[in-house]
Amino acid sequence: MEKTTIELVKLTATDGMVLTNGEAYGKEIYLGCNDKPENWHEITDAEYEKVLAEEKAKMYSEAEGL
Amino acid sequence: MSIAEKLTTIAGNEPKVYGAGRTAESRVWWDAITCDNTRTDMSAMFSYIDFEKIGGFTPPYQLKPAYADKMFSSSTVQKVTASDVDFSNCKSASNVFNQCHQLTEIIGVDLSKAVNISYAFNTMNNVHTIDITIGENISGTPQYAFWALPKLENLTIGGGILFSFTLQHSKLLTAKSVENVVCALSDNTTGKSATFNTTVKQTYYNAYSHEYADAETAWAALCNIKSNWTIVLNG
Repeated sequence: MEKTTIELVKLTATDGMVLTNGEAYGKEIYLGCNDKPENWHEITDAEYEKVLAEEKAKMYSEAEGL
Repeated sequence: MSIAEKLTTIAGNEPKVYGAGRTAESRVWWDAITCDNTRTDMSAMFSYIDFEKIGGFTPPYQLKPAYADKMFSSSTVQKVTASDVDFSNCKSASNVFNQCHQLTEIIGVDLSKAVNISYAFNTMNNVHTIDITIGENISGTPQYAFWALPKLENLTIGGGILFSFTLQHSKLLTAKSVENVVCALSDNTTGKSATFNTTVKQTYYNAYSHEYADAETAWAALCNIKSNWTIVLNG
């Protein structure tokens, strides 16, 4: 039998902030074994809302523009 | 038979005649739009179609799209199954069900050969069940393939997921679905993330509370099933 202990690194966003690596956004991040905390940084909820609005506009544009 | 009796009989048959006419009309519509079911480029074929006007999405034969970009986009389709549409040779399905707000079930959709599923299942207000197979050679922007599905409960994904994606709006995902999705994450990739709604951590724990001390422990165990993936909670 082989027993392996895997250390799981969890990042939690400060209140009013969202963590992002530039692609994904979240309040709690459970890092994969090849991911690093330095790949993630915080942005404000307001900045996140702006990103969401931009992404929605892009989605709408692509859906309508086939 | 008197004239009065004949007129009564004719009047009594009117609904049947009308129904037969509608059926024939519906068949003509299907034959026309599918080129007698020879058409394979079904891009935007049903986009904005109100299927209620032809008695629902009930094709008289199995459709076999090679290209299905925007195929059902913004239509009133309510259910799509493999018996109605065979996607198994579909090469591209971007936006295929985008904004189908009356769609509740997508069953047995095989997109294993599709290289583009960008926004495929994006923004559907009422879908509760999605059962699909995806391939490994996906390009484009698949990270929003499952965006804005607030009523999604049952999600089954066959094939290995090799791209980052988000299910952050799907608060109602069952524990079984979450487990299924995590198990579908490919072992052969790194640097990818899967995003779930924050509430599903508790949902998962509730289903396995007999095995774990708390939600955090249960979720960590789930994350460790695919330690090559970063698991994100949002929403």
